[in-house]
Amino acid sequence: MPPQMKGLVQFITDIRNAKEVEQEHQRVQSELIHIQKQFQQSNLSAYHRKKYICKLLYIYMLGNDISFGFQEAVQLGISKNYSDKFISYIALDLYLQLDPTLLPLIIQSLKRDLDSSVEEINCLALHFLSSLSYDSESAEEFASSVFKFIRSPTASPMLKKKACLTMLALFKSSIELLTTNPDWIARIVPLIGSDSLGLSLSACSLVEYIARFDHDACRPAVILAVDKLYRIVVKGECSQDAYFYGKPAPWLVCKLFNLLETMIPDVTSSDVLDTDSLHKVKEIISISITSAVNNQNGSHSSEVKNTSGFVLFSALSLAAHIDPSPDQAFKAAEALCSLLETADINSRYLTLHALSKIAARPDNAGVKAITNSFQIVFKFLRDRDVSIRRATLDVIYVICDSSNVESVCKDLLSYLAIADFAMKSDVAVKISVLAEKYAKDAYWYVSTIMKLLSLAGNFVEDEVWQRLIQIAVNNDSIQSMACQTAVKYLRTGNYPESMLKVSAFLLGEFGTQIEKTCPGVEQFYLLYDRYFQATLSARSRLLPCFLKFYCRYDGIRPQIIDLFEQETNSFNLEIQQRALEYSKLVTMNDKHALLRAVVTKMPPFTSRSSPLISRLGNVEGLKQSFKLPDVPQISMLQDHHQNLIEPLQVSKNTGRAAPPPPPSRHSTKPGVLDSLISSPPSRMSSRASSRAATPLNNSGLMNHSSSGLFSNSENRSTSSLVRPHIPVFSPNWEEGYYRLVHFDQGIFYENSIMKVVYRLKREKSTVHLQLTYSNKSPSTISGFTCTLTPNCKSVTDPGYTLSTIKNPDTMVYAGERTTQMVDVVAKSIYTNSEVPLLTMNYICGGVTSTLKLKMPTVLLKTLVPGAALSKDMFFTRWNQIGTNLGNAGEGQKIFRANRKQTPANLKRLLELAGFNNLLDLDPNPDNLVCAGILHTTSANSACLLRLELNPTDLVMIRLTVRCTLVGLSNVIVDTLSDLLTNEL
Amino acid sequence: MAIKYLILLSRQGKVRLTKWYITLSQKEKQRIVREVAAMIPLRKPKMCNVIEHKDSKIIYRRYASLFFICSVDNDDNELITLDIIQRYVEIMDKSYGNVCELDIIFNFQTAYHVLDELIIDGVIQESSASEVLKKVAQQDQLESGESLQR
Repeated sequence: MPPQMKGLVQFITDIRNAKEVEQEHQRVQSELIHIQKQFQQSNLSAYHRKKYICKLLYIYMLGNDISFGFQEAVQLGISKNYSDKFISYIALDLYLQLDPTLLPLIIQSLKRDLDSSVEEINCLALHFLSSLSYDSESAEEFASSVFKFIRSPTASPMLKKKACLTMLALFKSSIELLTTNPDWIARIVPLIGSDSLGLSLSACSLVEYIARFDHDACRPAVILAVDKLYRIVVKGECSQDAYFYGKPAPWLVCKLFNLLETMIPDVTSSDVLDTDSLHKVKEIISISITSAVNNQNGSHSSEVKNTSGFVLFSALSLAAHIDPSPDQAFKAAEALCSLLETADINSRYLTLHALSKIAARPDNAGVKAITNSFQIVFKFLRDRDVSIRRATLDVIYVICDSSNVESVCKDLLSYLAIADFAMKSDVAVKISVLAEKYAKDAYWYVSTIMKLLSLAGNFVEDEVWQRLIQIAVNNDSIQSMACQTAVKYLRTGNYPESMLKVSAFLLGEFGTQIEKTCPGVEQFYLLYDRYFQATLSARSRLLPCFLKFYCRYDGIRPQIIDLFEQETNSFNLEIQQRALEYSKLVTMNDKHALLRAVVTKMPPFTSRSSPLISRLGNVEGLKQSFKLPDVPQISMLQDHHQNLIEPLQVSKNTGRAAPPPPPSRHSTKPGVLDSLISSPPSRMSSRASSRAATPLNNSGLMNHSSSGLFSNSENRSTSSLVRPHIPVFSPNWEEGYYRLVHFDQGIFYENSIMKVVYRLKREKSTVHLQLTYSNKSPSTISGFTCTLTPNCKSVTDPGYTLSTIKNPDTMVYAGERTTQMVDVVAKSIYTNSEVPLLTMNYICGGVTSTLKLKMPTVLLKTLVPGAALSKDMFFTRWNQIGTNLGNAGEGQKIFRANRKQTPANLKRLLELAGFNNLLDLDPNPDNLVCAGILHTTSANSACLLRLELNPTDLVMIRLTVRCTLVGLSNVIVDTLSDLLTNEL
Repeated sequence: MAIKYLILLSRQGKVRLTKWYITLSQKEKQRIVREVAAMIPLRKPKMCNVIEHKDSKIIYRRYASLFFICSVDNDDNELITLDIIQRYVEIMDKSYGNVCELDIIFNFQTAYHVLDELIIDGVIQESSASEVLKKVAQQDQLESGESLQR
């Protein structure tokens, strides 16, 4: 425990003893004056400076503004004392939040602390850096110093983990750092495999963030994460210290789950997980879920339940990404429903949340299971905890569809009557959206919304009734019915004001349609009688309505003119102006010509999306958290489309182009109407374009949902930082490459730390590769990942495919080895420049290294010896190819080998390449003639070869190849000539 | 996946400690503190530890006379945050030796020390209690060493 400062303790005691706010305020003020005086002294000791700054910090925390002391905080930071620096940084953090422009003043001392040889001081500086908000320039400036810690072989794991999170903060303020420093990612990713759980935890958070922008560069993280999880969860390799209420390293486990979720955005990206890893992940998930469920059910403490609960929900979430079959979703939903009645309130809350997530899946698999427990769910609307009520409302919203919309809306409407104030507006918005989305019958829609207005009119957002008006304007068929309903409610005399506003519009616009049942004059008085009790915003809607009535009915004109005259004296500008303009219009001496020009029919609205969507809050976001393959979603989109628009907008919008909107005079909220009028692109087309632009993101379901959600999905989907991948190989890659183009097994690569042995087995068009990595160094290699990336020119129709059979271990102890097994399947012809690339990342002795090698898996490796041919047969076939394919079937090259060759050498080389040497066929015994069969999955090809060596210099070679497959002969010629000219 | 702020509130609604991981003006901070103080102490003991507030979730837990209150994004894992609070309290308990409200009031440096070793910029950096305690003890030693020199 650090020693206490007497003055500070006294001050805090005084504040605590203050009985009233006023007393506390006085004490603070007098202290502030005192501190200010003290700061003016020139010989203030460091101890006092610290004490006063502590007091200022405390005063700030109490909620007061602090306007001085920055200089003293800087001064304090110059001190060599740790505690001085600590307090100084807390204070500087605060001053910079108040005024970010102060940053340049402390950059120097900050850099000094970053460069300090004392680790504790580096930590302080890193903490401080992480809490700043930056512009991109200063972020750039600090990033390299922070990265220095991540890269450093000597920095402790503690320092590195802080550096990782500080880097995360820097990336958050300036993601351009990733583009300017592309090589950083490869150094950061291996840290996930670190022995220190803290470092691993921090690195996870960092990589998870990077992966949203540069998914591909983070791929090695998948293997590291799976391996780490496997060690912790399955093998139980976790120190006792990291256990938390019976769970091994729960935070790390959840972070790793999270990371995998980010790396596997949907099932279509299955290539991220090879079969080996997928198997492991499933095992990990199933163990996590079983053990967590056991803990949930027993009579454990709430801490145990919380901890196992958070692992459980993370695991379930990941499981949905790995195995998204509808069957699975149904089972999960069923299981969750049974959890609903649990006594533990937190579990109930989270279960409700999980249910709405499952139900929001585009395949609707979970909805059925929940519908069965509908009554239980509805019951929770009456829970006494508002959190539960809200979560319940979300579930109800999500499981509602066209089949149950009527009963759901009915139940919600009856709930509305008893719902507490805080919930009313939420319930109203949801009823309104559901009614619009799934209405099968326009009449039902109108009566539901009108009922909603009458019940909760004072709590609904303006958008609710504005939407009703939009739909009524665009649909001729429901206008009279809407007016009638309005009149019905007006006649009761007891209705909220939003009903008055809607009625004012409806009757003013379409009142003529119901003159038979309710004469215009009665309509007018229904509204007019309420005018003087109405608020200003309702009045400003009633005035234009009366103007319309004025045009229609002579009998009531004097009254309307009176009203306009009267309101010209209104104290409200808006009303006054309206009244003034209207009264001028009606009294103008032009036989109402201008009036008639002004009062025209409302043009249809062009916006098809409901403004309410933005008010739905987080429910819509649920739909984006799952991304499934395109097929089910497309059909669902069409469903949606039909449901949303067609039943309600039946006749009007077809064929008639929307006229320009009228000046929106009768709106006190120009923002809303403007947004309605400025016609956005139609839903379908914008969806199509967003889909085309971001193939990964097929969640464009609700383009118009709130901006927060949208930016989120953008972040996830577009790897916005696409960098061209120009392979730069590690030094000395050629030796191993050519050795293994020549032979099928041997040493592929070797340096002071590791040795890579390569073995290849041919099986028709498949090549089985086995790479063995041996650790030659005296220390452990950790965070070891080897990724083979295809390098085919055509992504849609690649020349070969790779499938990982086994990944190497991510940890290789000194003197040990690990193997990797990969199958390469040749699909069609591919050139030597298209062979796969091998990227190895590892940490050894604190140093992160990356190796990039070109795989010697050339197409020629699928060649097997052809049958022995007689002289006649050989030349018949040779000539056949010539006549059938012409130049396309033949490849020839004359080149100089890089060393003297003998016919025996060359014969051996061709045999190794897979050819059958046909002896005694060529008149010249030094020339070689061979046959072979090359396999690809699309076609097999006979390959005939003739090699002529200049007998005088033994280096000049003429190589001729004829193949039945067009284009193949050149590839073989290139491979062999490349080998003969470059092999070391 | 980040905590936006941590507020320690007494049962009477008095602020005991704050840490902000998002940049806000003092006015906005005070508004949040007021809103939170009006909401959390009224919650009954058996209610759940999560409450939705505007566009984020507030996770809180009461220990004796103090409420520990965190705010996270809506898509964050609630229970993880709850357990971070639990871990924070456990570590403080060991570090102060049976922590009580008064300890935190009078010795807020240590509370910040522990917090800084647990969380950076709203993201958890260390889950091991002994690691954090070791680190805090080191810093305390540094400090007391300095005061002896004086």
